[in-house]
Amino acid sequence: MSSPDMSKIKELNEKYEMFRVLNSDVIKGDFLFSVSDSFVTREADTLCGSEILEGYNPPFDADSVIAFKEAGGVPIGKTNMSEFGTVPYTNGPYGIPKNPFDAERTCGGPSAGAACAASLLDIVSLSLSTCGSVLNSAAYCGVYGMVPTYGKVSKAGTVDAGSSVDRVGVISSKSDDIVKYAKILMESGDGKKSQIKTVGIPKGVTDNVSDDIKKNFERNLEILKSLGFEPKTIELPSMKYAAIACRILTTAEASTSMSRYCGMRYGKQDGDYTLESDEFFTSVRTEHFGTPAKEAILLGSYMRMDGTRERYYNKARMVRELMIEEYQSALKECDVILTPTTESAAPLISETSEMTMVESFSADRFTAPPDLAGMPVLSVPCGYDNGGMPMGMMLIANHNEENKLFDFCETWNKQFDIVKPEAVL
Amino acid sequence: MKIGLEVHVQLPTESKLFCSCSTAETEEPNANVCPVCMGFPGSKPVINEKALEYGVLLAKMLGCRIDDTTWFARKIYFYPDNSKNYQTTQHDRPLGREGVYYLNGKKPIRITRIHIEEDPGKTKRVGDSSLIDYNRSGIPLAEIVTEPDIATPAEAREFLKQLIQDIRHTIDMSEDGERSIRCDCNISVGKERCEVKNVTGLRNVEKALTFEAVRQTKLLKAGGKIVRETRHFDEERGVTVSVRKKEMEADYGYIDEPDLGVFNVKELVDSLDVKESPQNMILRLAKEYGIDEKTSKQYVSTSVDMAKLFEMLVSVADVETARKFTSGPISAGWRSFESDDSKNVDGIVSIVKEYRDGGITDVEGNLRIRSYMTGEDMDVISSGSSNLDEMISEFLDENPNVIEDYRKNDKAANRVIGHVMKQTGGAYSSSDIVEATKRLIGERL
Repeated sequence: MSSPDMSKIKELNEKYEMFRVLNSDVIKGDFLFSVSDSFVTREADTLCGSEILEGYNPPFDADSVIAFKEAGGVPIGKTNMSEFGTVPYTNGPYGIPKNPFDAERTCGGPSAGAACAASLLDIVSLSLSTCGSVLNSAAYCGVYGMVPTYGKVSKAGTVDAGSSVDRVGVISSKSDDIVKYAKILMESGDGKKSQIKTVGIPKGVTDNVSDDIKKNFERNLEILKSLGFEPKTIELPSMKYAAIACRILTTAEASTSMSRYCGMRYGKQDGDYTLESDEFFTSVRTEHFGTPAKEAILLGSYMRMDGTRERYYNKARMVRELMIEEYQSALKECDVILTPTTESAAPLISETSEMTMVESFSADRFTAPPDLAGMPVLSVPCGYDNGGMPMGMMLIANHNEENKLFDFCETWNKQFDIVKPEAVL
Repeated sequence: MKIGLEVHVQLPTESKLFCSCSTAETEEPNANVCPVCMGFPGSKPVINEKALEYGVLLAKMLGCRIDDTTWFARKIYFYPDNSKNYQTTQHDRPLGREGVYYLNGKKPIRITRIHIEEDPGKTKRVGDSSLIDYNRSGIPLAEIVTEPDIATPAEAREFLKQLIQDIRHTIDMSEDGERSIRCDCNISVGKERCEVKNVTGLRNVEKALTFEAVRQTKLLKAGGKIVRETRHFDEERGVTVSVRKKEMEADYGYIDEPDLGVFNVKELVDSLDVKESPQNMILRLAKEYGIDEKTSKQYVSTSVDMAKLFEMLVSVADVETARKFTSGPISAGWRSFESDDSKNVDGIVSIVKEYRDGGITDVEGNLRIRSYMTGEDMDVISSGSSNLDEMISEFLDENPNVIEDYRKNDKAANRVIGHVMKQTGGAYSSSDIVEATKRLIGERL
């Protein structure tokens, strides 16, 4: 690999705002990669899209960053994300990543900058999946996204929102890279090599999705049949609760994880130390948290308080158990489960900034349930709508059966011609 | 009156509960810290298995029900020395539940639960400012919670004393005063209870509870009402003062600790055997060998190893011989014997064997054991102690009720000691007099 042309990357970044910070001396290596701002790195500060962490220079690298570096990778910069990954669309203070296919449109939230960089720079991106964000953003930006089974990739050094559901994932425009780099991250094997024959389609899966997504999904089903796959209708009755359950757990957990940001020890430390501690915390947190973090703290705290905990937090945990059971029993009948990745192609940024937090949560309808249950997932680009915006479909395999997804990656790569955005480097 | 205690014990691990920082005490503030115990973004806790092991041992010692799986929880409260503003503790699934501890081997004190948690850091007030030291942040603690089964402040003290002795023995914790034990004391004389937080040391627990009992009783008599509240014990003034009023249960918004997951402890629980606790040993020795409970208590409190030696002597000779030597020269010489690595119990056992086989008399046996254990010259012991021994024996012959009284309360020995001190006027060291007195009383018990 030749040294990257940093001036061109900077130029692209001015328009698309995928990076919060570009590393200063990017040396030559075997491959370049970008890192979401929710991974700690020695090269740059780590802010997770929040002012409250300004000045935090972590004294260590995240495990997955170390794994990439040891494999010859060179980190190029930290990508933009929604504040602490708490909302599905980024409106953060460090720039809003613009969709490579239409700069008026969004790239998503926690993984927005990661997918944007993968698409425009043709590099592999590391990102944390919060409520399905890796797959969402990959689909919005017309690239591949893959997330291994919960627990198979070390999360040391990641600043996760919902620690019990967040997972490390990879995004790339090349299917080969998805396989290669996901394998580098995984600490244990990816299961027996096996091919997919039967594909489970959840009943009613295209209800209430956009017409384009529906038509595209149906057409791809025909293609899959012609390739020898056997579709099979399956039932996942709890799926309708799963996305919101994933949100409940994520916000409840995030509200506790974020309690540590209080103007002491690291990050912003310009508070008034003459105040009593409670007042001090309140003033720092009021001033330096953005709206997404504040809303997530309020919502998440409500989910776990006496009186509401039983109704929300505890129920969400029950839904997780149910969802795992349902996936596993469905996956006895079929090799993988197939759904669209998103309800629509990437929405306009102007629309997303008008949405309430709860309205925006519908973005995760398909991608959050497997995050809730820790299932390995893969999103592949699978078509373009009338406006040329990319669409994706996703596969869910059983725990530890990443190999089935890798196998499909190769098959699909031969079948589907990916369209690259005009601005691609 | 009802008293319940929450006892915090520091577990004797070398590293902290969730990181590899040292638990060693150090003067230098913030010397033993890392991103984990400082709560830095991106840091993740990793369990110290040894702490789980100690927790399981204590849960077993307390006769708790131990589930196959256990997990941690986040308890959220904002405080500057609480590095994550949540404490990683256990909530829904403590390590052990529903145990029971027998005070004096008889009175059951129910154990509600035992769980493991991390200690926060320490805030130090210096003039107008607060300085924070995170060296203690992440130190592993076990919290033992009792039901309100304790009847008096004195009983609370005795309970703690026995419990701590058993805890130390169970997890091989060194003697370090009462520093590593902290206690929250709940007490009610009427319907509502008050909690006195963070009392250190047995004496203070008794004092704080006594103060509270009197305060609450007076208040009720005067027609007042007890409010549920948290109180603080002022060690210097010996009083409790109100810290927070109108508090029911604080809402900590507990959630499961997602960074640690679920621990399957079944194998660990099955693989660990709990050593016999000192309190149980006292009861067993008395029962098994037909000796006075007072005597077995004296053996075990001196040292569990000495009590074991007694059992060894029973097996090579007989109960009476073992008792005579253990109460006599072995008790007297134990402290110096224990601190001398060159000595071992085999040396004592072989002297007792000689006695058993008729090779030496009991007086010679006493002398040789004492000499072996303390390293003193035999002649010096015999000349010195014979005078002292004669004087004490004479006094005991003349005052047989001393022995009777001693059975009830070992302070009766003070009458003998006082008498001998007066008579000898400083010719013998007080420790020699105490040793000789206890030894000779022991022989007559």
